[in-house]
Amino acid sequence: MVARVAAVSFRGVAKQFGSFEALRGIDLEVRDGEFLVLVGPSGSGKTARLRLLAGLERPTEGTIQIGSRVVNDVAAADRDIAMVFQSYALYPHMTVRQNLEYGLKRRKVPRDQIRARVTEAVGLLGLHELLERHPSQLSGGQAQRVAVCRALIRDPAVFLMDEPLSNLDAKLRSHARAEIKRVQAEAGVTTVYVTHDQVEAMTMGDRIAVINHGLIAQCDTPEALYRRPADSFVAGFIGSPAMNLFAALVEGTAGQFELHAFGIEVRGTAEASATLARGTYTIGVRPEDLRVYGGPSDGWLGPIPGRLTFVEDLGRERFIYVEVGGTNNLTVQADSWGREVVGDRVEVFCRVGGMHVFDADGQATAHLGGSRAEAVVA
Amino acid sequence: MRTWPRQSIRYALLVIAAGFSIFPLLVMVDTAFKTSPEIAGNQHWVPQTATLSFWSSALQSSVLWLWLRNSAIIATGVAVLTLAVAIPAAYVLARRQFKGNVLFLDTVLVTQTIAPAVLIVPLFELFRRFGLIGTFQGVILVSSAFVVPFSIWLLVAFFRQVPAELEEAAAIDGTMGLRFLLRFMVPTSFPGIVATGLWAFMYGWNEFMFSVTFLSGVSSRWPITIGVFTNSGEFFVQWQLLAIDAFVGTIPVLIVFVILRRRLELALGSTIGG
Repeated sequence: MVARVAAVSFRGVAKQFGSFEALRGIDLEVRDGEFLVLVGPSGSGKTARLRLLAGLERPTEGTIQIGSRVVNDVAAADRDIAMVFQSYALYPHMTVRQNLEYGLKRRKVPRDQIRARVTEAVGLLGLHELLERHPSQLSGGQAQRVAVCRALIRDPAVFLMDEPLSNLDAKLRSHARAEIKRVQAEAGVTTVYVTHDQVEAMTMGDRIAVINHGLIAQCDTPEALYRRPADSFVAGFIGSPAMNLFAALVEGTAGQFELHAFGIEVRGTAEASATLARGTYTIGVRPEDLRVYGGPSDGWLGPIPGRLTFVEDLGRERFIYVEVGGTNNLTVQADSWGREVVGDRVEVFCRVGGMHVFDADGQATAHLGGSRAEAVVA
Repeated sequence: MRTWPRQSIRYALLVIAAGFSIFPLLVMVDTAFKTSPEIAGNQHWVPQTATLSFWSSALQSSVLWLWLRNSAIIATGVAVLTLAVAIPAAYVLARRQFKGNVLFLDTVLVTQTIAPAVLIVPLFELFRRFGLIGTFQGVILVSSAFVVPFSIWLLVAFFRQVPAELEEAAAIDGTMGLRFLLRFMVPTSFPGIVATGLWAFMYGWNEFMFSVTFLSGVSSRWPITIGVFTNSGEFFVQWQLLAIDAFVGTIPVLIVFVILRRRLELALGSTIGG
């Protein structure tokens, strides 16, 4: 299958339903052959973007481009796209084979080519034994594979996937994630993938656009989203368990930090030469950047006294929940061999290098981690 | 074990309801085997001297078969015309948003409350002008008009169950509008369409008032409902023939019903259950 490489771009796209403004000012670039994931909570406008791109909705403003062609007024069938729906939308009155062939027949692809493409795609996804079945005779996982195969067989310029794994159980989902990623990589087709599951986004996307309230909060590689979240929403959304976010009064001079949070004063030495204006910030720290072992040391803020309220032992990793300052809960990644139990008094230390500082609007002011150069100071 | 009194009451009620439905049919069959003096005497439920003579004369008379044929033409015509009108209408009402969508659907239902008898005189005049008096087309047309509203409602309910994503997937495959309706909507809603068609067929088969009004002058086009009626004269009623004709008249509907029963159950199950 030879894919026509096609970039996708949204420029100033808006969509109104009557007087209701669903989306506005959408700008988005998807590179050739890229796997871009749109992730965000329900109702954030991810699927709306996908539907605009598919041609199932028309934008009220702006332009949508696939390759060099503006597709605003191009019908869905003529956009050279293929879509996998959340419900798979297999044609229930047709066999799997007929489902796969239908789009090609409508495009008047010669019969021998249809046969060749079906054979190839079916081989890629291992669907041989399902060809004569009807969708009602397929399991969820099988139906999902048929839906991906149906999209693949059309040899589109752009793949669109709308939460294709949300109806599968956890085990099947991780298998299907790898399979979709493999198929996409082999076909080299530009893909826009919508999900609300950040694990799916992190494991599949070349880049991820995190969407909040209809706007893109950040669009970057999985690593960048995790290491340098642009705002407190992205910080809280990406990563599981979620990043700890708490309010603190921060005062900093080069190399020294003073932080008032949880009703106590915590002092520490920063790796970064960041200077923060005195003020109230939201501090974000991932569970792996907190510890309850050892004493005070350079580069760690603490001690923060607390009481252990819950232990989540996943075998390989272990998360403990510590109540500090009465109401705040910190999630700490503890050693898997740890023996802490609920009710224990513990002292939490926070790695300065793992601290993310967000201003009153939630925008990232400083990431204190990594090299000195990475520390951004407003 | 505590549920048994409730179960018994439920079954008792069902038996009573079934009795009400079956009783006239039993009388019909019973009457068909009785001699005239016995009917006149009206003393026994079960015929004391059963006779088959009326059966042989009824079944050998060519008019009975003519009436059945005419009924089949009318009923099939009503079913086909109803579906031809109701399927596209229901599709648009179920799947397209337009101003007055809901109002239109409600209005359709309101027309169902108009008694057919009210329209007989104006319709007669209208049909006379269009040359539809004495034709099957006239009866089929007017009967369908009374079946279409409810059929639209029925089909709207079925079509709404077809997921919107199916229509979108088909649109991406280049199938929209009428082609989608015929290639996707109709096959996936087939049980519902069969149920609606069956309901229209039964209406057409049992139709009496329009036939007796518009076809009374043309005896070669009388359906079985008029046929049954002809056994009752001004001074004398041929009870046995009336019963036999009525009995024979119910059999085709029964056969159609039995053949399509499974699909009908599927359809009703899906709308009621789903």
